[in-house]
Amino acid sequence: MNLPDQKSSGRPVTAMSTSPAGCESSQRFPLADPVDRRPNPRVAADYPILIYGTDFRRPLRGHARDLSVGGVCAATASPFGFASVERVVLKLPSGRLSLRAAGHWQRQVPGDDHPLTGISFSELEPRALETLLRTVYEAGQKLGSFLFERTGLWELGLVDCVMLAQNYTRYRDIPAAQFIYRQDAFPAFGNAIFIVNRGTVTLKALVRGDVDITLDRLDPGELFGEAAFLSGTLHIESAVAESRVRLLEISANTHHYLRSAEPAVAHRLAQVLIRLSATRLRNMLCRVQEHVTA
Amino acid sequence: MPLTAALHGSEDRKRQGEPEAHATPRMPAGVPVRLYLEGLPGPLAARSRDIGTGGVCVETGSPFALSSVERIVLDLPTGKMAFAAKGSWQRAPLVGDGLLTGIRFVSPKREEIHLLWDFVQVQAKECARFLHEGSELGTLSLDDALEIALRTRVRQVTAGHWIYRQGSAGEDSVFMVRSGTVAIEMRSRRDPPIRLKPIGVGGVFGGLPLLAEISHPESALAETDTQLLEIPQYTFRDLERTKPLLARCVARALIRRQASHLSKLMEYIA
Repeated sequence: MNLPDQKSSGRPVTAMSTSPAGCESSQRFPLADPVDRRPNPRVAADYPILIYGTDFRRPLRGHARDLSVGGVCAATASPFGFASVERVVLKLPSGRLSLRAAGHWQRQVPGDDHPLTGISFSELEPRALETLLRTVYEAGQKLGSFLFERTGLWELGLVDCVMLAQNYTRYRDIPAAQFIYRQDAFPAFGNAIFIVNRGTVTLKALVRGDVDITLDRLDPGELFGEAAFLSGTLHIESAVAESRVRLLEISANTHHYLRSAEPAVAHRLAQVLIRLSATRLRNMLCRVQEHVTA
Repeated sequence: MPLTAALHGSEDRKRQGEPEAHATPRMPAGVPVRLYLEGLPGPLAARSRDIGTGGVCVETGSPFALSSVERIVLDLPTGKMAFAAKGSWQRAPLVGDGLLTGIRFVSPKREEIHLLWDFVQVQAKECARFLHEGSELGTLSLDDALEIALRTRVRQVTAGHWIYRQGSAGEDSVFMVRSGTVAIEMRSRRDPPIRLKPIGVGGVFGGLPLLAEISHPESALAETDTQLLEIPQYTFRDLERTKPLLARCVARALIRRQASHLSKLMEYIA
């Protein structure tokens, strides 16, 4: 994991849990998300994690949202003084891994009920490094297979799906009935492409402020959010988690990085997204046409 | 593949309008043209769709044998220019009555080429300025505007004529309105079809079959006499290969257009 450009004070971000206005919070805390720049492979992950810090006597429990050999993005139940982090214990499938660590950033993503904290590892021993590498690659391969076998990104091919999974995705967990983004609004942290990994997402639109119509219902493997992502416009629909949902997210910043790091893949990804977006818009138009009556 | 089949395939592609790569500068231009054909007592009136220093694409109301092309006279704003010519390819547009023919100039003189260069440059300047200042493609640099201009062709559509119909996928070009207005219609359970806000000068539309191999979700009709700039399928594919970011810029404009249609259509829900 790379370090952000601007280190914050390390204090808990008090506005995080109270400010639903994401734009406001993103302006107040110009966050340098490590997803944007990273020299190490990093994969969306879901491993239990214990965080030890000087500010708290007992370890904080959390879950890794993504993992690299350089660090981890951890979701916790509440914000905490991330600057005091000094050690983490990852509960990996191969066993527990204790690592010296330091907290670097913390933020609340709208729609996600857990604050995220960026933590870097330090003084890695060769054995720990090997374990991390193996975990990251195995998780990347598994996720890459999911992208290849279950999503519209299969056109990229297995190798590039694995590469995409290993470097450019992050999990997001959304509680049931929560909005992922809203119609006619810019997402607080910029547009993103979402892939349903678990659960069901409904795309719907509110017409003239009172008629709610369902435009699509998305199951695991389906993508959404791509029209606004591609065109840089407001969302024409809202996306709501029908059940508790796990999403894979490729943010606009990540895609921006992909364009410079892997231009050929970024180009092909954009072509796939354009095709998917055109098809979805056409299907939505047909769905809306059915609702239009004499 | 047998040689004859391969040759026929190549002929078919040519007939369908898959031209050779444009080796010479070429710009959209709609000027009156007279074609002199072997065996025809008088010239055949036509209109150019694009003009380059090596040849011209013309639209005629009736078909003719490619091999019969002998001479062409272009009625340029600067005066008439006559060239010995040969037919290269021919295809019928999927909507409309006209026929497109690619015509190559045979051994043009140096001074004629210079005059054509001047004409093409003027057209390039006008087209690039239009794309830069007036189109929905967003802010384009001069280079980008020229790149797109190079890949467009003029299409003149008379008021009341369809450009493409809902449910069809054949007419897969991307269109930009250069003058006039285009009505967008959508069939639904409601009768008559819903007519969305017309697309005015600079508007980008169509192209969905090109992006996703799907049919048009809407119909497009020339509300007034309309001049369109058209990016045909093969030049869009060329743009995708050679200038992928520009191709994406065009695709984004088309997605924005469809998203706008969707928003407008939702207003009709009872």
